[in-house]
Amino acid sequence: MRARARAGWRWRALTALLPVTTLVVTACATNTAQTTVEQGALPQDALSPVGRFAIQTDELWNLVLWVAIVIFVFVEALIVVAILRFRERPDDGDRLPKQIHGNPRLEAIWTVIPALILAGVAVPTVRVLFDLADEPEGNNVLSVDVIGHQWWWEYQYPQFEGLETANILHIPTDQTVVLKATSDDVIHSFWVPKLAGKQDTVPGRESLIKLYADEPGEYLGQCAEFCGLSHANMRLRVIAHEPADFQRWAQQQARSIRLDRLSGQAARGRDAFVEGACVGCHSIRGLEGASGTVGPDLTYFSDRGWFAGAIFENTDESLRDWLADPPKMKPMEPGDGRGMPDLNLSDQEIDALVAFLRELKTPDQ
Amino acid sequence: MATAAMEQRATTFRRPTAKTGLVGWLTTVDHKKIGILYGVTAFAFFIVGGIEALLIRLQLATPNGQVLSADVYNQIFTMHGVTMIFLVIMPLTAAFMNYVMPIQIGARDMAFPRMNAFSYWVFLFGGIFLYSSFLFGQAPLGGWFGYAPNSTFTYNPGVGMDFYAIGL
Repeated sequence: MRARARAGWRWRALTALLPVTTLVVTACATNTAQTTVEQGALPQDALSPVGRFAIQTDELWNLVLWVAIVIFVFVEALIVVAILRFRERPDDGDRLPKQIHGNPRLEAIWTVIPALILAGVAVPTVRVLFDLADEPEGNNVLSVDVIGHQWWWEYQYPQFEGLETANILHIPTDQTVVLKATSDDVIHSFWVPKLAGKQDTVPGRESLIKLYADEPGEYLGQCAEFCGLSHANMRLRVIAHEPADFQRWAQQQARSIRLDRLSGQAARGRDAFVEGACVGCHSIRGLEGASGTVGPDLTYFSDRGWFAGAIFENTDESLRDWLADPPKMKPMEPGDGRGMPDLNLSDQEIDALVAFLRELKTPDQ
Repeated sequence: MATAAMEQRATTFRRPTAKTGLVGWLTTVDHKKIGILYGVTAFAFFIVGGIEALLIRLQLATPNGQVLSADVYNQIFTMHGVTMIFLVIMPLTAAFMNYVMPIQIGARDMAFPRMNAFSYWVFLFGGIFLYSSFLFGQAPLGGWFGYAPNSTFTYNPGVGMDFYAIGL
């Protein structure tokens, strides 16, 4: 009888340990998986931040995490001890535990201590919040207007007159970049995990996002607020250049493009672009008649590595597929004025347009 | 003669008893039975919401999943969220509150038993109404949160958001 009771107890202890064991095993499994991936190699990893502002957020998160871990372990340990020590035993009989009304002093202590912990955590939290919300001024700040559209990003650089691009945001390293973000239609959210936290872009409002890249490189991001049919296909990239390279890029991209010397296919494509439906939505600075504002600005389109919400690599093949039937490549609702419609282009027209679009690039030096 | 009158009265003014069987469940105002109705209905919706979750995962199991179209995928994850929050978690709390609370505080029933029963039936038909949108192929697709302006007529011209608003 006694032996069986003890066996039952052992079994119960094992069952109680099961979740813990699972947790440990899973944690180890994740660890081994991570060693095969180079630290920080994942393109959208908020836990391996690169810039000052992302690091600030990450450090705050780590601090709060450790506080939470200590509290969690302490509270769970108390629960386990209480369960094991004060459980019902076979020889208890009808005996009731000591009946008490409570313990005011204990209650006061466990109210005051969490309040103090919260107040302590609030100090760095509020500091980081105010830091991130503080709009920096001065000559050393690059300002970019970000406008979310269904389903692509528009960037305007007011400090470089005329400079407008889409989906791929170019910034200099070692400089605070202030994004003033808004939306043209529904709520979007601008998120580049390695550089900054998420920030909703709300129509009629201007939200502040600060970026700071320590190293040149390409940082991936995406829209993080459900914005309709092609939300999943609304990505973005941030390319950080050395400051001198950035200046060169920005001054070059701010210029209008020269397209009067085109010939052959490219010239036919240019005429098709202007005479066709393209100019209703797209503008090309330097091409007369092309000043649509619904879709992305296409000046220097072929300098961009990705297009259509940065989901397609800018190759001739994907560009041909895109022109042949855009809504087939990426779900859109052109009938409701959202996204590019199928223009029923012939193969010859597509050939000419691709040849023309390939001329939209920085001239070779 | 006196006995006959007593018997007559006994059948006319019989002490009311609860109905049993299907009619009993349909007409009940008893807090425990209503609690059970809430629980069973919430569980049924839980199964449906779980199937929707499986469809979402099936779509995402491979890159560029083609199990569902983009449009239907948005409907499925919206309905999954709406179902789990409004048709499972909330009624499940109602189930426990109905069943347990009156017993805990020593009350005979909820304060307004008929209104309590009415609430359950409104919940059930609201849920069925919401799901009838699938018959039109236009379930809500604005996310369970239904943020404007994405949930407005301009950006969601179908009837999905109407089902969402009226159903909830």
